[in-house]
Amino acid sequence: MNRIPRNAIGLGLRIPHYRHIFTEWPKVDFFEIITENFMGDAPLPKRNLERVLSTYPVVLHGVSLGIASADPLDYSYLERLQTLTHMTSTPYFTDHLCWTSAHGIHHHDLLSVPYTEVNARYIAERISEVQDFIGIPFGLENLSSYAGFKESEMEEADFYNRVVDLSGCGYMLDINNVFVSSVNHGFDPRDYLESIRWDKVLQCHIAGHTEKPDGTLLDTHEETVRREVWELYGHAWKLSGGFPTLLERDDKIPPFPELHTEALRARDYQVAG
Amino acid sequence: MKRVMRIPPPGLAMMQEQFGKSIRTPFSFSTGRFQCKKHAYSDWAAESINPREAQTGRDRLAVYNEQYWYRLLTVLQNDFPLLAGTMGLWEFNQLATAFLDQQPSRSPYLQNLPNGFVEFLSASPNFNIPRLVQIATLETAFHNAFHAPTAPPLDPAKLSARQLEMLAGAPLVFQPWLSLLEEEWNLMECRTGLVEKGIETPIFIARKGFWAIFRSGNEVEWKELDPLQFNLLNRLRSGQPLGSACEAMAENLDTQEVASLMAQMPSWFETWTRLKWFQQPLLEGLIDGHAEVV
Repeated sequence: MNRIPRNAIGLGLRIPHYRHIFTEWPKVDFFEIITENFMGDAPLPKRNLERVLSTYPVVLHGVSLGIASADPLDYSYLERLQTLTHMTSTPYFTDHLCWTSAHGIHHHDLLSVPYTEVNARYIAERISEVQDFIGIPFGLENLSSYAGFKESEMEEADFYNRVVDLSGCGYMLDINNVFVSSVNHGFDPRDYLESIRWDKVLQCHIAGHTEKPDGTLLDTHEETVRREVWELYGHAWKLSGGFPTLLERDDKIPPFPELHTEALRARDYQVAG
Repeated sequence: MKRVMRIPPPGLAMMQEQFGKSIRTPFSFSTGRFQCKKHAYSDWAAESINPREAQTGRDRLAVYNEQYWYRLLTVLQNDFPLLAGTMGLWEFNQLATAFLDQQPSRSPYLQNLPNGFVEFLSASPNFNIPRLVQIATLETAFHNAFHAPTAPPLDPAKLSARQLEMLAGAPLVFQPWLSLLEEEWNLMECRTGLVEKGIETPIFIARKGFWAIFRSGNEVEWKELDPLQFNLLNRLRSGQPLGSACEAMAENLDTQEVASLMAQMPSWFETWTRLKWFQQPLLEGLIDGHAEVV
């Protein structure tokens, strides 16, 4: 199994960068893949993944597990996910604190639930089941959200911590998501970070977001990381003492060297507390 | 491992159903631009969301509603670039919206999103235009050649003489990634012009063409076929064994064409099997694709 050092800085593996990676073999600490892109029958993605694995550690990040869905867990999906964990020797796998399907209809989006004790317990039980089945640690990612529910009994950070505590999984803390949700819902992102149990953080994400004309922030991954998010990242580093860092970019993807340089800016903010 | 039948908390399934229904609400196209139909969202879902500052629950649902459609329409635009370019994005998005409204995704994998799109287009009263249907069929074939699974291939070199004899009378099953297409315009040329050279304005010319679109190694490839070869392959695809397919074709050909068919057939068959277009057949005495040693 691969080990990802606590100070590692990685990038999301994206198709427009394959040519550069396979010709230049740049020095990168690790890559993260979107698991669903490698779980189908197409051989080319797997062939490219094998080439990446020959040189780099790879971790898995999913978008379709739907751990908070009222639909039953999809074991055909989990079996494919497990096969991919074996292929990549990933030390952990991650997905979001969200639902994506309802009554079998998939929305291909990361959708939140009311923050209630009963929902936390339900989700935690499902995480335990998934983690036991896959057989390696699971990291749960916090969402960027654009709507809060009247039914919620607690703040987002409390709900996130509660699910992690009950399930025994790790955090996949997305610092951009903390910032986006803090603006959209009006909470202090530093308070959020200060509530996290840093010894259980498997990895952190950083990314860019987009502001709509009405002030709502969208987690688009199509822009560079904003200064406020880097500052929050620096605060997280002080609180934690280190974690693997991953820059996500999914749209308007710049050339590989430019994106890698942006990811390495993290070093400027990695000042121990 | 024990799989638990877990009952979700009361209200969670309903919340997700109502929220999901709301964010799948199709855009209105009547004003000449995309517009969320906030009034059509579930009252229950809108009421369950906290308003914030000037934003109502419906405004907040609209953020998800927009994201849902932008994401899925973009996926279909990428899967059908020539169709979207030919129709124009405005028309294409209306077609794709109607398709997804009627057949929302039932798979966790976005690559399955186009499943059923050609059939939907063919049945559409507004867009059932032969050229558009042929373009969509062509682009589906490319998608399929990339994503479909591979079955163990037929390898005649591994068959005994008896099994080769049996093969002539057995139906041949094609690989799931192989498509055979007949086009009435230069659609393949227009698609490769768009995808490989960025030629965004296709010039359609009426012209018959016969194509195989397939996977070779890890790559998607395509090959023009002559009409006789295409006809024979189509018969094989319909389940006719090789021997009877040749006999049936010969009935409708003149002497010269029959001679041409019989002369070319061995080299065609060699090409098809070299390209692994057929699945390993179920023949008596065949174990793991190798002739059983007696």
